[in-house]
Amino acid sequence: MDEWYIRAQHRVGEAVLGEDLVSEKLLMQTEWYNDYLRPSEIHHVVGAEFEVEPGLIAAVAIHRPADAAAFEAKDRAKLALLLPHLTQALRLMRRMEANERGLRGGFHALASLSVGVLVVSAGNRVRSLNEAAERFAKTASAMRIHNGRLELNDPTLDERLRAAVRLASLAPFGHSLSAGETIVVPAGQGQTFALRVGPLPPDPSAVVEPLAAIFIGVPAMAPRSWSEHIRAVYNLSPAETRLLFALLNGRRLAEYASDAGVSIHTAQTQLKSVFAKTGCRRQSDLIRRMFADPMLRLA
Amino acid sequence: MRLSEVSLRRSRYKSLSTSLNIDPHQFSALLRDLYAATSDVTIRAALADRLAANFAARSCMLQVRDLHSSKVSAVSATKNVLAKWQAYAQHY
Repeated sequence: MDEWYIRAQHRVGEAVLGEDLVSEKLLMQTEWYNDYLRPSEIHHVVGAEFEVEPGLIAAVAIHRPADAAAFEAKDRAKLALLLPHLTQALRLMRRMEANERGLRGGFHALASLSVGVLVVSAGNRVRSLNEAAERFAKTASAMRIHNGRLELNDPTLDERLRAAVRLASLAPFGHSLSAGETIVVPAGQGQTFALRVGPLPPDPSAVVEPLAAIFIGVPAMAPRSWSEHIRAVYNLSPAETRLLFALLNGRRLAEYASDAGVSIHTAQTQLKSVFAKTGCRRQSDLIRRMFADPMLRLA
Repeated sequence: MRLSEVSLRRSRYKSLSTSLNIDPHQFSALLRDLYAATSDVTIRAALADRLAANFAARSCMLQVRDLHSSKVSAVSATKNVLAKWQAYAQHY
């Protein structure tokens, strides 16, 4: 067993020399010394055990090899001076790690949304983003993340985005003066996507840089597993799922029937079955339900 | 805290550090690194080397033990300690 550690447990909060705990002669007779300390060139020690928080004990040990001078009382006193700082630093580490874990958990949850989310600071510098935003930024032609900054190809829209982020992140009185702004970006071939820039809740700390949130809404951004998710929620057959997604993508029933190589009668029967399973009576209700229910946007 | 108490604490610290022959610049550089290590994992990894050097040593280990789970984790350790850390944590 670790003789120093075991014996120092009775002197928590106190800096000690190895000789305060166990004599050099006795130490050198232990299995622990011969198996672990000697091969690691550890012989002399000045150390301490101290409580960081209730239930959390830290130990610091500083060692010298056998051929070096032993630690002295002044080393013990110096470590005693350092102990309050070590305690405080370890407390801060624990808190920061807990915050980090919370942040990672939040972004893990955001990753399952089909809406792109970015947190940016002034100058559109991206501080964090979810998987959907990352995927979209890689494939979109009108938008990209370059050198850590979100950029729109159109200079006018890019300037508008910067101004919106600047305004949303400004919080001179503890809350943002901006209610947010939506920028519609042409994406080619008659398609568009929308960027919604909004303020984040104010941070009471003045040392944290101001941040804004950007939400990207693109119907085509629904993850591949979205269809599987909806299919599972409503217990749809594969054919019914294909029909539903054709309607969600703006196809008419007759067009779907033609594309799928089925008769219009079969398509109508499938649609009735979709209505029955989803509790909708009309196509417009069905489409509204699919896009309005936030749970269905999770995958 | 009143100003007189602050002055008293400062003078006590000054006299203590002087009597221990502590270089105040070295000590404050160590404190700077110690607090920087709270948010910077690179500085944290090198913290054991910094602590050892400050005590004219080459070996150091800083570890925490959670009494509820009995889990021991190394916060920072010098190479000689890290080399045998796994065996140490399992055996001792």
